[in-house]
Amino acid sequence: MTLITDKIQQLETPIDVMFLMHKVFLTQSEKASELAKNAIETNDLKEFKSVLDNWLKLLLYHYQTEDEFMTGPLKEKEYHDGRLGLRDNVAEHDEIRSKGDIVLNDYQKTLNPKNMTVQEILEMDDLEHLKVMDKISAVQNSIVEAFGAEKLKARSLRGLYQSVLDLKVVEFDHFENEEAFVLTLVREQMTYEQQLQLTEKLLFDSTDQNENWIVDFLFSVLDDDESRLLEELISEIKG
Amino acid sequence: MKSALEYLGKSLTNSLSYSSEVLFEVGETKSMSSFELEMTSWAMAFYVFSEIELSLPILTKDDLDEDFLLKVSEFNNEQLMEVTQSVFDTVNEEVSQGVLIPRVRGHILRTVSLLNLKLQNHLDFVEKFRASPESENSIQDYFKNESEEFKEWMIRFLEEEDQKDLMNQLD
Repeated sequence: MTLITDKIQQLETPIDVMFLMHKVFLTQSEKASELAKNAIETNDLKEFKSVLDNWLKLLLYHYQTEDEFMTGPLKEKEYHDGRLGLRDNVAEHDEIRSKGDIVLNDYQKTLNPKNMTVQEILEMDDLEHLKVMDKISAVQNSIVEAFGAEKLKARSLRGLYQSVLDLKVVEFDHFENEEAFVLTLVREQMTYEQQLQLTEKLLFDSTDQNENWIVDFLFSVLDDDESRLLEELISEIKG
Repeated sequence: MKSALEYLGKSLTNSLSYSSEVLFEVGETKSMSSFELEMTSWAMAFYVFSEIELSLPILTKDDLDEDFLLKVSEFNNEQLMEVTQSVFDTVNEEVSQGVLIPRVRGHILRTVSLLNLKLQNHLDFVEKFRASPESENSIQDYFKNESEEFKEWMIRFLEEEDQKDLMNQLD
């Protein structure tokens, strides 16, 4: 599994570009979680929002492309522990999309924490279990007033940090699974030329006005040696 | 003068932050046993905190009656106990022979962070609905019936500045 601290020395086949991409994604998630954590003290989410937007844009494009052009054409393989590499990969993409929505939702809560519901403030989704549901709407204003704007803001920021951490953890697990179970299938089932075509889809967004936005972003994060590996691959893709 | 809850609340949050730092050091300068020891200490201190908190009267406000607030408080305490347990469960289920792989480190850190979030949210609740000058138990009251061994352990658990403060109070 590629870690942020790992230095990627070579790309043996075109699909190994995933190691570079995963490293950049992990760098983004690390940065986002650090900024969300700092915001609990500083109340400042400006830089966080910008990092979050980039991170989610990359993830969403990446998973959509993988579902369509990578896992889609591959043949399923059942591993000895019952894992189905492709099915699980798609399910993990869905889980990450859903976690991304939660982060965005939690970010919205930080903008106006007074609009949080009693359940959200008290983190008690199962208030019904406590047989106090009939009182919930009545206590909404009292709860908001009792905690006050400052404590509610802090509460919403802590919630945001936790949801970013959740996303970061499932993303890491997913990359590890993908590198172990799916990239193996890509190498087994796709020719070198097919891998180059897939890599082109992963690196260039033909639906965007600036189709280079992904590679531009990768270059901005990778070090010189890793950027050189990417440049060589791009030269090969562009022929 | 600080109450036992105030001393413990602050140390409980700091202790969880320190436990996360220990987790990052596992495999380098610390072992998994160091982390487990920190968390065991934390669980004991939280139990004491919970015991004190639940013994204090509830302060009702507006529409927030005693029944509602008691249930919230009990629920929070149960949740905190459950998340604490899940930290130990993750360690027992996912750490093999004291070797911490990055994936598992992430799982444990996420749960410790969740514990810290729930604790800090609960401390806000305690501050609003439990602790008040009239209802505070002084630290001397709390320690009155405890053994010397327990007092020493409790002092060790506190932050350095609070340790001195507490020892002065107990003298």
